[in-house]
Amino acid sequence: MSSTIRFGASVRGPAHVRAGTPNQDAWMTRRVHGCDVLVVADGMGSRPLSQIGSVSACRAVVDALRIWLPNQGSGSLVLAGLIQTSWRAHINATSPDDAATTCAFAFLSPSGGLVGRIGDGLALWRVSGSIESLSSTPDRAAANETDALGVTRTLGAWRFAELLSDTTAVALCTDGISEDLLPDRYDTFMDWLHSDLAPLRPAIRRRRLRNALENWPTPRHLDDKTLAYMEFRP
Amino acid sequence: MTTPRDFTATTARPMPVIILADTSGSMARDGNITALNTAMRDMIQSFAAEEPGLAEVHVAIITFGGEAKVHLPLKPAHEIRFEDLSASGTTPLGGAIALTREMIEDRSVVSGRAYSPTIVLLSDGLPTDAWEEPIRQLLESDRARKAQRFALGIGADPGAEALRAFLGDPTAKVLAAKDANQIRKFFQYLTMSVQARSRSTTPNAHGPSSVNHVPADLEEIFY
Repeated sequence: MSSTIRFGASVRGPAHVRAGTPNQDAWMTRRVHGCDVLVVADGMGSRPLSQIGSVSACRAVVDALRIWLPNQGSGSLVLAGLIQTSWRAHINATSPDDAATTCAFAFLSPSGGLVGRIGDGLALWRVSGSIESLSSTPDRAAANETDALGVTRTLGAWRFAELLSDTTAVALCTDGISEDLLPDRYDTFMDWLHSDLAPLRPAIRRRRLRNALENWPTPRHLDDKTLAYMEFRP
Repeated sequence: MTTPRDFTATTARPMPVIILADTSGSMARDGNITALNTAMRDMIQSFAAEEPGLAEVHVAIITFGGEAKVHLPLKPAHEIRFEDLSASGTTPLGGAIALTREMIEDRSVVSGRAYSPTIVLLSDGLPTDAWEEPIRQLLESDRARKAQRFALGIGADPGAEALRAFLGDPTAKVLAAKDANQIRKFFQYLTMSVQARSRSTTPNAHGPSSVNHVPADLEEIFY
């Protein structure tokens, strides 16, 4: 019998701390229809109400999965449509453009799962001992604007990857983290989550993770940072 | 025990500034090349001395005078020892544009972590090679298309058609420097513009060819 460890954290980046503005990232983890679910969202910095958008994105994914998981035959684009519709409902009267946000999610059960994302950031997972990734558009960093809920209306902007049944761990992070991760050290990053954080008691783990994100070593980092992680433990 | 230092970048995200400088023989007139050297040296020194912002400004210089070549490879401003440009030969602007596209698309030069580049084209005369196709290819490049672009025409007949095409935006303005002093003014303006982006919390959120707050003594080339 296996169990799942799920954890995450979101911290304001130095830019928002200095400006006294809220964290525009959000994350959530839930269990839905027997699947472990992670969501991270990064409200677009140029939008005035993007923190509403990012929190709403997390809720929208969970709501959409409640409908979609018993009906997976309808395909991943139907799930994307459900998320977008649910997001619009959650942001209520807020203008979609004002609440624009990226969104990445993963759900995993012993029989497998799915990773999906719109916009920048990174999803990593460990399967059969190797690390797989679903990154954003290859040229995100030099792009003016990323795809996002509230900006991109076509479902084709969503990217998906199937998680096979031997997937043992998944990490999602916003671009405040992913832009500074060295691609050839993704395995070290996953090892850190698995070996240094996952075994800790929840309160200590939360403090340790927040401390790591608040004291991020890359020079001149300013972005909000959000990380969500889950793994199966035998 | 693993720490984030074991898997994160140890340098700030770069903000590339690529200068395409006309060094054809005509730039030797009226002290223009001297003014350009002084202005670029001042700009690089300003970037090097800047208080840490979000990004680290990197500078490259591509010249086109007789031949198009990389005068200064892209590197952090604080590591640059600027060597003066000299003016001679024809105006192979198209060749310089092609070199720019190669540079921007080379991920070993402009990494995926880099913010969108600033590309600056300045010229004092009509191109002497084919420039239409290189500019078209540049503007079709995803990275270059999203770059912030500036165009400065120097002197009385700066070949404004190519400068205009380089901006790729009918609403963007080609600026004009009628004399050496205005070249310095332009570079002061450029320096401030780049520094503002490097301190911004959203460095990529710029228009494709930003010319806001242009100094009053820099004129716009109209058509």
